[in-house]
Amino acid sequence: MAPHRLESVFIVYPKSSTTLVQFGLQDEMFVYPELEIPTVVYEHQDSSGSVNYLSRPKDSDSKEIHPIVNGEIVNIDAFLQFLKIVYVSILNEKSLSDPNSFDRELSNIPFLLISHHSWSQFHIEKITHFVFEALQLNSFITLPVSLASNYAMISLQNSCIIDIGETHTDIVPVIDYLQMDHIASSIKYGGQTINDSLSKILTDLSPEQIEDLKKSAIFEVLSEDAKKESAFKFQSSDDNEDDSALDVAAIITSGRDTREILEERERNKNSENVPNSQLETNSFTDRDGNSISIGKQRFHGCDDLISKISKRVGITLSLINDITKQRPVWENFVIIGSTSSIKGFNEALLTRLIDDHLIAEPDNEKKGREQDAASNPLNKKKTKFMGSSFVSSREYSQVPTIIKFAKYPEYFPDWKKNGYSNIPFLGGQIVGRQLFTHSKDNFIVTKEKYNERGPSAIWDVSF
Amino acid sequence: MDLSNSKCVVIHNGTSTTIAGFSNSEIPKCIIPSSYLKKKDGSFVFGTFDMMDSLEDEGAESDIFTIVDSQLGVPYNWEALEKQWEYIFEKQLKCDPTELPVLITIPSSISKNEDIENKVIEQYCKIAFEKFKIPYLQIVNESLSISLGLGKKTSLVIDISGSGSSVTPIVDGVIIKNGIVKSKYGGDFLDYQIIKKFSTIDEDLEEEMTNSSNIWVSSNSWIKNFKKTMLQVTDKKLQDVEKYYEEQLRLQAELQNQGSITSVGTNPLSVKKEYLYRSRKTVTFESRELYQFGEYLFQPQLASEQYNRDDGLGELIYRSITSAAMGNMPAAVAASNNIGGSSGATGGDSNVHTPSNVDSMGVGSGTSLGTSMGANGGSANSGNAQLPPQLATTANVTENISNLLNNIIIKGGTSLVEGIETRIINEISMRFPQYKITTFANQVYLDRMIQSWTSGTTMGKLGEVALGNNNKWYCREIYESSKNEVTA
Repeated sequence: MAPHRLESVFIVYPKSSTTLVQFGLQDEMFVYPELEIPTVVYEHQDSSGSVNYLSRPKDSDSKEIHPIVNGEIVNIDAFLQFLKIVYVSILNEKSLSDPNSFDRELSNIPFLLISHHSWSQFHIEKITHFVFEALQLNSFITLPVSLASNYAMISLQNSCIIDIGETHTDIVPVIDYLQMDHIASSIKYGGQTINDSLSKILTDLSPEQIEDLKKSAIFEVLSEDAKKESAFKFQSSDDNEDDSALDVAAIITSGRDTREILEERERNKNSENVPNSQLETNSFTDRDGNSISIGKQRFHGCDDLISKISKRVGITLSLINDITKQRPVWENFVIIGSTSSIKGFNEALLTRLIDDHLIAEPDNEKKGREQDAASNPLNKKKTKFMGSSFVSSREYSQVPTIIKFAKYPEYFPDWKKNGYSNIPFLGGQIVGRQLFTHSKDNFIVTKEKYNERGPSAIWDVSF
Repeated sequence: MDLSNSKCVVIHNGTSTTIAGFSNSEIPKCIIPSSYLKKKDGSFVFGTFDMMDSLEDEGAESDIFTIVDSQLGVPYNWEALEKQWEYIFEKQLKCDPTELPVLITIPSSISKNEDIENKVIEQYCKIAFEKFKIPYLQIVNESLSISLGLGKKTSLVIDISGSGSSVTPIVDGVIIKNGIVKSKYGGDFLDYQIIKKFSTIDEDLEEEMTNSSNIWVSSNSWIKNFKKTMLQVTDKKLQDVEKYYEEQLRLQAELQNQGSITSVGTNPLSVKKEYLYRSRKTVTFESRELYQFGEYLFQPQLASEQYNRDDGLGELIYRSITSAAMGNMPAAVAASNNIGGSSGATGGDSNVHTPSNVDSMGVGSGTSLGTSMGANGGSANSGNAQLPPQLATTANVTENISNLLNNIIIKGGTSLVEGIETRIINEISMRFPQYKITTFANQVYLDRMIQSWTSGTTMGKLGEVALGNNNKWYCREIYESSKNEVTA
């Protein structure tokens, strides 16, 4: 197989609400996808009874169809037509700007489609059939979100992908570069869960305003340290508390002059350099241009979602039988989806995972041992100089004893600029570039293979 | 009928775990418990995630039920099996059951009892053809397909799983029924011992473990964790290892007294290991306490006088090999003659035995499905209804033992406990001193867990290839027409 041109590589990453599309890879670097299209088609039945799928509603009878819901393909025909609309639009745009493009970049387009773990074998075969028969393409790869993320993250062998959507979150472990189908799962909680929590404590705001708040710079999940420095009490999650209550006890016991503290707070209110977490209130502008001031509520709302994710992660990873594989998975979490771009969200999720699952000596037990060691007369001489008593830490053979996120790649400047919530696309770019420009076609379904084996050819080459 | 080009659905209903997927894939689509939860509204919940979620919603009053009988290894709760398959087709495989052939596995231990085996196959056919309208159903013997999948016509399959331990000897592609032995000492038994041990540390545990859902959750969380991280098996009997180290230390102490050495080492069995029990407290064990658990698989009598020492794994293997290689010749030959006789009544035993003539496999020409399926286990691939002549002569006993010992396959989730493979080899070499022993145990954990399923996919890909009478194809059309004939 002759290698393809970089400028012909066609990558599509379809998600429930929007689809990322890129036609053509650049030589020097991987560029963030230019196109983000709503994953919607309009079903229209004409007078003869035949059904068409269009990119825009034709009339009032046109039905809006979302072919993908919670990552799953719920309407395969509509999805295929959606792919066709996207593909034909690209051809159209390119050929209008340069009629000769059919001889160059449009002549032999290799297609990489990022797939979801929930897609059935039947769906994938149908897509393969469509790509070769209807779209008349010659080279095709499907790449699951989990593996695409791994390849983008400096090629991780073992990891756990947490993909937070609007109304669902996927938890997919990858071991030895293989997606673990049998323990991949989804929970019915996503970004919308945050909106639901917020609407309970911000009853005056409309759903749109809550969405705008969530996306604004003032919405933040605070770390434990930030909570301590904050103006508010965070000890309990009791919402019956007065939302603008000052931590009077903290002010009195701080030892500083109360008037001085209150003056400092007034100054900070007006100062622009004070971090959001230390302000009593802050304001954002909604989509209609209104400026809305929000108090402590802007730090709330994410607990429910985070706890549900943590719970499912715990069960999922415990199903990995090999401890030697379980360990690296706990040390390589990859969080994707736009909710992950909320300030402090990822850190809060990590903290929750550690609280819930880390194998570590219970605090009361450790304190007990320290007290015993301190009261032991044999130790008194040793600890005199150290000040505090010292006990060796427990050594457990259980997993996990370390929980952390995988490191993001540093050397894709355009991606670093745009954030990593859509990092599977970057994986698609890396894999597409590697495989389509190579002369060997082991991982690609070519026209020849399709002619020989039909849609089942996809299983001979899949990752 | 050549189905070697199309993919098939492969389902393995094990005692603890059900594994399902497509034959064109390396990894199954689902690995779920072979148990389920029944909600208050009567609906069934399958799969670890949904069961855990439901338990939280419904509370601890809900009960967990099983589908597969732990002694026989075959389903007894057919209503639930039907619901489970429904769940598997709809939610996991997401495919139409009417479109693809289905391959299922049955345990070799069931072939000892023809009546039960026939009834089980009948039930499977009923569900497959009547309920799901599956076009073709292939039923393979689990141990045989594992052996053949590894390219071995002769092997000794040792399976240590949740429900217990079993040993199945296979000679020249034929399962030697008289050599199949089974014990109840496996993963579930270890769970029980672990609960007993921790009940001395946590006084509320015994009370908690009276509820089936609590037992299920514990088995699938902290107990599983404990088995994975803490258990080990010594390479010889634990008592002997204990004596050995004591002797070593005694000698070292003597040398120290003489001034030859300065310090005495510690007894490795006294080395401490720490375990965080359910995030609540750290429990410290001596290594010997941890080795004790695994030891029960080989010497159950150490756990309680009620348990028979002959059911230890070493003894099981010995009995299996000797039965297969030496004993019970006349009985086996007689049985094979009876099998030959009964299939003659259905219209040609050669038809029944030749796998290429698939049409006749499901038809009893008026008799029940059971009779025509009765021929298995005692016949060779050549279509001859007699026992292979090699087994009949005692001169070849040594050769048989040697072949079996040279092809030992170890499988099952509980076999993953560290040190079991070495111990098995030592137990065997103790009993068969002059023989060469070769074991085959998949070193990739996941692969060992799904070995039964994977061998099913291999069998599925072989299509028409003759695999002896333990591989049967059933066709829905023929099933339906034979039923109509019976009722007509």
